[in-house]
Amino acid sequence: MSIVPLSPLPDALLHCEVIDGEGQSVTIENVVKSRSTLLLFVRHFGCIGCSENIAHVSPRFQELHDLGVRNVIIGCGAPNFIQGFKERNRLFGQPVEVFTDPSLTAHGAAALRYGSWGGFGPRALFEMARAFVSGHVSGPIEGDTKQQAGAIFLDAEGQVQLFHRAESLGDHVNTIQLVETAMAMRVLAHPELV
Amino acid sequence: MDTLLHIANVFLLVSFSVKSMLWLRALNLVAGAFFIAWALSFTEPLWSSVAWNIGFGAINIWRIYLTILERRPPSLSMEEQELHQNVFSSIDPRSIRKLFDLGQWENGLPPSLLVEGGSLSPRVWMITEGQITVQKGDKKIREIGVGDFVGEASFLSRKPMAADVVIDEHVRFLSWCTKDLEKFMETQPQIAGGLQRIFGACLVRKLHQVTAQA
Repeated sequence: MSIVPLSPLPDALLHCEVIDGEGQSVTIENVVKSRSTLLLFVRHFGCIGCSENIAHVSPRFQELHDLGVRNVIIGCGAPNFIQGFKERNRLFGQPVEVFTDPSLTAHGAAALRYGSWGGFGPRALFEMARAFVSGHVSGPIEGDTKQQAGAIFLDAEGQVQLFHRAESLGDHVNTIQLVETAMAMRVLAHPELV
Repeated sequence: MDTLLHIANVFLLVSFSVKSMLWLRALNLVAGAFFIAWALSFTEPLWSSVAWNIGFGAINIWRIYLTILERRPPSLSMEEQELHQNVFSSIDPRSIRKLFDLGQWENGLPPSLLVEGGSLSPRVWMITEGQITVQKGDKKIREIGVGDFVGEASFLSRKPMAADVVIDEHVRFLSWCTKDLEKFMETQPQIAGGLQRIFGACLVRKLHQVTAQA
């Protein structure tokens, strides 16, 4: 099973349930319904690489929101870790929702990498050092350390416009490409724009 | 003889304690000069030490030169300063200099067709004076004025222009070749981020206009 650009999400992923900080479940299908959506999968909530990842993407959440995009972060720790994750990453007041799937079903259905190499291999160790010297710190392990991150950008019709499958903890989605895709989708939805 | 070595090490010590990279390099350079003097003070000079310190010094001088250059404010003409303040204020002056250097100032004289509907826009224009008209056939759809882009929708979506863009009064703009701009945005991610924010704001503004008209 894989995510194919310019195709809809596979049913297996659409039917996955993710949980919000209040413990309420919602299917991915409902999350991505009728509007462009960014699904940003993160590793465990205390991951240093994810702190770096969020620091890259979060300054663009407002722009993406203004372009009609629903910003969604999906972690893999217990729902009670969401609050702390939002605090550490200064996500309060930002147009972003945080869910989690401790069962990793959604991550698996999104064909994201799973394994120790992505978190502790040579490349990951270098990326960990890079994140550390950039001011990020590793928090407590709040989820599965073997689960790697990724990102899926869907247009309003639910077609995959961008898919990023992280190879290691510091392999982040290109935010320039992400915003570019969001803008292109906005323009295509309004052909009268010049 | 040893005094020179001690002086050099004191400068080195002080250089490690300062926060500013420029001062660190400058003090290091002075320390290097004393190290060289010390190495030359022997009856048989320590040439290897002299050579290494010349090497360190050369790198420090080059870096100090670049740092000082970076600190100098870039020169922007009145027209460029106005555009920077009104449209590109979120981009720092040094970066905006690079973006302006990539573009080309143009005057548009009426009546002329800036870009034809149905074709990919070869350039992205930023209007700095006057306004242009967007029309489909003979029907005027709307006007685009100072501070807005033209052709950015085609640039962002890689789709042909939806309508003709016509110059029916004197206009002045700064324009960029889409290929150059694309390459520039790939190689300058920081500036690209700032430019995307401005493109995004322009798109949202245009969408509001379109919605209001509808």
